[in-house]
Amino acid sequence: MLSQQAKSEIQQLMTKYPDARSAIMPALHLAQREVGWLPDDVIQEIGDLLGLSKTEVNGVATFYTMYARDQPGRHTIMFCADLPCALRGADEMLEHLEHKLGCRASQTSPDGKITLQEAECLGGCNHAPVMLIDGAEHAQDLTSEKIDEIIERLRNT
Amino acid sequence: MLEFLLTSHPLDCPICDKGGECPLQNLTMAYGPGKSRFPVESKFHNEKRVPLGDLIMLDRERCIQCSRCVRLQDEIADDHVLGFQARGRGLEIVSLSDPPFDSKFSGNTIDICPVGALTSRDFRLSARVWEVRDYPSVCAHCSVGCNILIGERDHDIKRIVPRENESVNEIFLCDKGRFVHHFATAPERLTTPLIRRGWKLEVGSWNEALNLVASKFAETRTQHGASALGGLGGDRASNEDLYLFQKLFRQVIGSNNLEHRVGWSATNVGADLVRLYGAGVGTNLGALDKNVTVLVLGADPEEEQPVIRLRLTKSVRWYGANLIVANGRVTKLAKHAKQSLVYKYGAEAYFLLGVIRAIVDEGLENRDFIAARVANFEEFAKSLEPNTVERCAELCHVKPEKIRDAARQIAQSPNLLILSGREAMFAQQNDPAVASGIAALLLITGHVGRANNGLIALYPHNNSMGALDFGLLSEGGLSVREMASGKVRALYAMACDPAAAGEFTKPAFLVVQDLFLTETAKLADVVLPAQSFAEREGTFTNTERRVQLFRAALKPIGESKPDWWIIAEIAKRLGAEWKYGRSSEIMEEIAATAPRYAGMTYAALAENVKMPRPAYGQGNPSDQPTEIAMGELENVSSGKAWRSVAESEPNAKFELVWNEPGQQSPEDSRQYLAVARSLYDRGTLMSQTQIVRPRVPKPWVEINSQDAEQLGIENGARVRVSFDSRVIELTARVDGHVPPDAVLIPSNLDGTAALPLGARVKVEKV
Amino acid sequence: MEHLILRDLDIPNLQDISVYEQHGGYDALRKAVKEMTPDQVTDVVKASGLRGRGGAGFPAGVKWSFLPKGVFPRYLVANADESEPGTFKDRQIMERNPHQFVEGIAIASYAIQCHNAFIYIRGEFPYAAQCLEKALADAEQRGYVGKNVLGSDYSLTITVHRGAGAYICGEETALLESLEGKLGQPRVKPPFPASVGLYNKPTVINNVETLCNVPVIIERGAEWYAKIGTPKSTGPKVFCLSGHVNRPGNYEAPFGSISFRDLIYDFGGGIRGGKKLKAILPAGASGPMLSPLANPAVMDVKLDFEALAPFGSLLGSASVIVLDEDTCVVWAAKKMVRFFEHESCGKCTPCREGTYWMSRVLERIDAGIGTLGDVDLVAGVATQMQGRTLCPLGDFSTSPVLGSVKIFREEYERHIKERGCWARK
Repeated sequence: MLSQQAKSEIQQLMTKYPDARSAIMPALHLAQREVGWLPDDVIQEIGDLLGLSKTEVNGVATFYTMYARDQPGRHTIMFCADLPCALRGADEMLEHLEHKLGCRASQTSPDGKITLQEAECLGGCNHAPVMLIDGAEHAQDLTSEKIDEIIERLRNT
Repeated sequence: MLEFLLTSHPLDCPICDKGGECPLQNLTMAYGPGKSRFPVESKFHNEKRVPLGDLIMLDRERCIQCSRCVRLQDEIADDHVLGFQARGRGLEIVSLSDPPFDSKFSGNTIDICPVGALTSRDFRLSARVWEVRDYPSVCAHCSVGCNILIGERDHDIKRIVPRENESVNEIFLCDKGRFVHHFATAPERLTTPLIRRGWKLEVGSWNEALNLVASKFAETRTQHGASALGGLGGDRASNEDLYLFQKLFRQVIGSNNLEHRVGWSATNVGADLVRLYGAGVGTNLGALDKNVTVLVLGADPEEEQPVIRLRLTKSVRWYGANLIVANGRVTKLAKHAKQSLVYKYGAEAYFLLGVIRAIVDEGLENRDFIAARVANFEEFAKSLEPNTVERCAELCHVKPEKIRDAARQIAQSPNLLILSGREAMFAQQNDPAVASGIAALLLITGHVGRANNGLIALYPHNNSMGALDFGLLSEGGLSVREMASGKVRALYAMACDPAAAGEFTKPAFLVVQDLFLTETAKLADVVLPAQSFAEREGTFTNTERRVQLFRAALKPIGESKPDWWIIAEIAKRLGAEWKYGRSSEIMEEIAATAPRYAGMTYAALAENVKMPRPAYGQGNPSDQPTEIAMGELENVSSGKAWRSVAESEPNAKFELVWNEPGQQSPEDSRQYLAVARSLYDRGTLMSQTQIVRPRVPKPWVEINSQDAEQLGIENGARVRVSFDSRVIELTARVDGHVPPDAVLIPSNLDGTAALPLGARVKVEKV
Repeated sequence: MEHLILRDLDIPNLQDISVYEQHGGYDALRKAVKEMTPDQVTDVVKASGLRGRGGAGFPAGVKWSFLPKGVFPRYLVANADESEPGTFKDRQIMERNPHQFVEGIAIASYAIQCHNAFIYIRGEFPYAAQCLEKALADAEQRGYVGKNVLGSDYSLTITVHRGAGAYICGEETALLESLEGKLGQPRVKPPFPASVGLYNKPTVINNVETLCNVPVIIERGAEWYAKIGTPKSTGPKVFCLSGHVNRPGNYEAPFGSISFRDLIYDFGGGIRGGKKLKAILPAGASGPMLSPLANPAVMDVKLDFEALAPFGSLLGSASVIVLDEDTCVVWAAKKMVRFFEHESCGKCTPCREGTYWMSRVLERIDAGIGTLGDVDLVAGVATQMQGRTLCPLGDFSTSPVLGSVKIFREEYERHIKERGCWARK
């Protein structure tokens, strides 16, 4: 369920565009930030606010990869495995990360804390390999030591 | 491209409904290599059975993401109810609406789906298409008269698909026409004549039943005179039936008590206007361009003539037709109108008068036409004096500038069509000025007698036009209400159910001829089992006056007989020398005696054979038109429309009739009752098709949000609506579809039969 | 030479509005709004020869002048959906030189008389989005955007719209669909966005880097600007260098002034570990592969929009990915095709099915279970796709396959014959 504040922020967003429907993506971002992911009832609420059906909102939410329609762990890591990163060791780093977390890409670690996702280019090829933590923070020039450090930090927060 | 489409297409043609008429299959057979370069184990798998609504089943694996269904719904049906979710190879069709796939045209997506992704939940897995034999017919529901093919196998209707007719339904059909056909083969169908013995109706022979009817009719006539007999002939019956029915009464019995308007009581249905100024032959509602202004008055074609709504929408969107919608409420069609005008219910005449006055004020009348064909323009113009545009505007609650704008568009357009609907016809009943206003508008602008000009009256049933053509109207005779309330001693009710449509008093002798044991039939002395449209041939006349031939597809159910046969047998027993062996002979008589139907024999109506089915089932474009199943089809044409007087008599002069608008009733604090119809209702024909039951809405009353606030009624609350001596309880819908001071109730749902449109009602919270 | 676009490399803290102002920031906007008519601004940009930096290289001023006369409202959309693997120039601009971008938007909006501009930024760039929001707030506070720009009667609202992970939204009509709140699937063209764009209104869509050139042009004049670069490709260009080089990064240089050799060995400090160069991807995943092994001349051609056409490739957004001698091209092609498979929107058949199909075949070959026929099969599928897709994504997805098969066919065959990858053994 969305908070009253989130709802009024979404209503605010709707006025920013010539057509309120455009607010659907920012609204999904906002909801995901608040709830952590996008469960059915939140999709419904956004639909109600925007005057769209739940399936219409769901269609948009499922097209874009950054919206989580399944419940993730407390943190989400998006790991770039595209060519520029892969040329600089991303495949090995990903293997290391999977080993460290005890789960494969698109899965959540057994302790339920971290979800690992393979991402497409994160725009940090000059600092490859790159990953994006919780959709907010770029971790660049990754090495296995750096990854271990980050995982420790995430596990403890 | 074909190879791409087939990479992930499943190999389940042997169990796919589309197999045999599948474009992908046909193309593959025509052009595809015998062997696939794509290994079967790499195929992408997805859900095989996704109900996309009550009527349609989606197979996501078969879907090739062509988006034809999405586009049909958006661009043609104008129901944005389908869309996509996810992306890439996983892109999936989803229904966006609640209830799912909420469209009256959903069945058309089955036809245009180029693979077997969308299938009918009714027809699904019940027959192979090549075993189904298609018979050309005409839809038996609303007055559009869509052309159909009845798909028959083992004396059962397997499915109904549209038959292409560019002048009527193109390649489309509404879901009612497509799915509501199970009544024809329902187990509840009457199979033998029934005769009342004591308290019970018992099985009797045809001879016995017919003899009894004839002797009772003769006896009544002898004892009480011919006017003690009456006939109610439903407007679902064919022209042949209705013609013989009136002939029986007028010529054999000698009574003029004939009616067809059971269940709807508009006294003035505009039949005279249609006869004089009906839209010119050659009018095509699906291809009206910017040179045509269409005024849709008091109609809701979305619910009552869905395919006309679809075609008008198409005309507006594709060809730029200038659509003006005027009604007491906002209907779905209004969304596409260049101008949507909402007048005050009960003040329709003032709206029309305002438009007429504005045309005369600005000198926009068609002087040449008036000089040539109008007898009394000067007096007419003079009679308008007291009614200024401003006065009319004030009374009908439409702003004067909007009235003037509409007037200019109507007068200056090269062509004008007026589509007047049920609500306008009921308005005429209260106020004869409405009818004279429609006629005046057409005449002073000279918009009659040519294609794309004139009046189309949107009647309720498949053959209302035929019933009017053959004079089943109480001119000089008793009305439906009178006949139903025991004013006749013997009543013959054919294809109608007056007892279900209102109060009914059984006369001394009651004969009912129908498909089912209706409410009226339960009271009858003799019940005669008739045949449905699927078992016999005949003609219907649609609301555009197009006479269309339909052929038999099924063997008769039980001992049932065509209506015309039964009528003829009764006539013979009353001494008439009638010799009709086939219904075509009756039509030959009609063609020879009724001037409007001149030349309309079955032979003529079977000319100009079109391809039996639209081309969507074909794969190879070089193929000849598809032969349907294994049939050699009997031919039918796209129908012929009869010509209005304005067309057939180019020198006829017309008189502008003027009826001063009725006095506005003093402000009544109660609400005006508007009655809508819902496409899916509780009708006899509907109740036999299980699959559409969920689509029949629960009855409701629409209340304007202003009124609702005053009355303290919330959306979804239970309210009590009282009028005359009736009280009904309904759920309230508070929205902007009805204007203040009016409520809207859809009729023919549970407990909402026979609502008096225009009555004043009291609404209270329960 | 001074940087014109990546000015943050010369000036510390350029993201700070006062620093930007101290270095002549927003002077160009002032000049445009106060001294020039909108048409004059368009004419200057036209005269400068500025071409779109998003990849296609269409002249920006000409694009602006395509808007139908008298149809309002109009929209400007800045395409900041930089998603091409190997491209990271716009991110640097938005994070470290956002005001030049904002100024460019404001000038362009003024030129086309649009009052509502949108920045469509990738969802994966949260920090860049924050930087932009901050820059916009600062700019509005100082009257550069918002109501009555610099006291004139011209008003402009700029809205930052975040994407959410879809490469396809870099395609301009998909971007518009996405901005309208729909699935980001390309539209059928024509009509082009200039006449029927955002909310069916005339719309100009320009890349971030393109817009950053605008203030420079207005400030220093079209003539001065047109002297930079080559006559057909004017101005400076930001090259994104990544992969097996010692110093990956963004490097700015005038068009036609540097070659791959300069870029890789001079700017980029050479191949990592002193290895040999095997192949270059000049336009991220989208342009066909080049290799000095196939044609040594490619190393020394001076780079501009048209320079790579004779070699069967294109410069695109100049996202140069470098592969060293130990890289397996089958593996690299598989990586890139998988990217396109993941990013295909699914609207048109050749791309939806073709990327899926190519991906399966390349996986097979890479895993060592392919057959010799598979090389022709995957190249055949790619050829079938070419020119038959709704938007360039489908065409781009064939580049890694066709380019690599053409140059390194024997490597594919070796994979199949040796039942596995030589590089990973």
